[in-house]
Amino acid sequence: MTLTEFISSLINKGDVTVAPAIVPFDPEDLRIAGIHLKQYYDDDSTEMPGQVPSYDPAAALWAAVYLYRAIQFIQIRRLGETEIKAHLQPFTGARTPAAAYSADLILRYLPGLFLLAKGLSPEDPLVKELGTMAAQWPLSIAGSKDIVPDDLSLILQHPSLKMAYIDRIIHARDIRKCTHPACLPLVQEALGTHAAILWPEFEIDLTAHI
Amino acid sequence: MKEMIIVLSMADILALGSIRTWPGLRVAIAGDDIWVRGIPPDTTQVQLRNLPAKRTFLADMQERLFLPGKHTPHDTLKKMSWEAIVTFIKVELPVSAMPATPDSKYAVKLSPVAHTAEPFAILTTLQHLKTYADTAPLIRLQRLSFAVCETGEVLVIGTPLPPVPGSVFTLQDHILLPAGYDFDPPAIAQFISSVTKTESDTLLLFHTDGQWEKIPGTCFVRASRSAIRLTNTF
Repeated sequence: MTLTEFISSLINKGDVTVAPAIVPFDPEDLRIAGIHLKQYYDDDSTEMPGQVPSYDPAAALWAAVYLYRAIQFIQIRRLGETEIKAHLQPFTGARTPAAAYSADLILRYLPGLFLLAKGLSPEDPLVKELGTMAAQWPLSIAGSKDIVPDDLSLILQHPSLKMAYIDRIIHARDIRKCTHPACLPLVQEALGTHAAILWPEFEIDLTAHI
Repeated sequence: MKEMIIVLSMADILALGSIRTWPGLRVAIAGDDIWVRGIPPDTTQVQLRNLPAKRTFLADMQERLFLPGKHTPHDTLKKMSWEAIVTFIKVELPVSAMPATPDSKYAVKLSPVAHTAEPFAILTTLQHLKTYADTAPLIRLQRLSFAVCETGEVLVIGTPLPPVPGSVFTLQDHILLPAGYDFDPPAIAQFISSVTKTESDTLLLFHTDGQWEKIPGTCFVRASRSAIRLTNTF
């Protein structure tokens, strides 16, 4: 399966297959994959609150390649830590709101992959790598209770990403993330005077945390 | 003799209606026949004589059956499941053959009331809804649905309602009434749905002047940022 087919299947069907060996992607495949990602950005941005960050094609493509390779490492169990470090490279571009949102288009699937890898082998170097990488992309792991983000400052400085992050941690009913000092006022603002209707357990849990 | 027993054909069951209120009568079914017992042996009531009885017996204390005027038993009463005639024959109210036709129509009126229920819908504009949805928390949007008309008016339903300018309505069965108003008299609310033949997912939107609109459930769309942003009127 090419990277383009991988992205298309991931977005449209939610299931993917990957090549049985790690080989470089064809340049034409990468070009068409970029077009798919931009189209996905245009569609997805209609669901984002406020003024959505601009598109960062390098971040989006990096995230797609990263996820593709990570799935390959789950499937090809004979590959070791050296290959993991060689092929699961971190994003080298600037960490901007645009990069965070563009990468999130694909990295939002990373928490599910992390849980799958952890379930297969909790001590696997791949699990450590995925956990470390996921913690660096707070927006993408907002819906996961298993990973704690490193730093929220990039997300919280952008109005659209901030609202999207708050939406996701409320949707996940993640008390730990919702009671983060920087997030609690925003969660309370979102619930307003309707917490008893929208999330009755929130006020109870909040009392328990005081 | 203890009692009189008559036997009628099942086809003549309705004839028993004339003696339904007689005290102590019991009925049993045997094949295509209906047996009636408990009739006083010396009765001369005209209702009894008019019954299309197939056979008439007189029964003694040993439940031996005698034909009228005979001194030797004809048969013995068989075991049957007896039931009081008042429960065997149910009463049904007659239907008017020629019901009257109302010659005037009642104009529905609404009047202000002191009490009001929690608002369930708001009539606002598409622009107001778009402005709200742009930055509204997702958890608030997910509980709403909306329907748009050509004029750009939007009816938003769900709770809690969005804090946008507009007219709010309360829900009563499938009827949306302006907040602070009720039917005058209130009792006619229960007739509205039946008269208008409202489907289960259809809403009737009443205005303060008594005018109303029927809004099918298929007109409503679940609220999401994309659904609201991509909605336009021409």
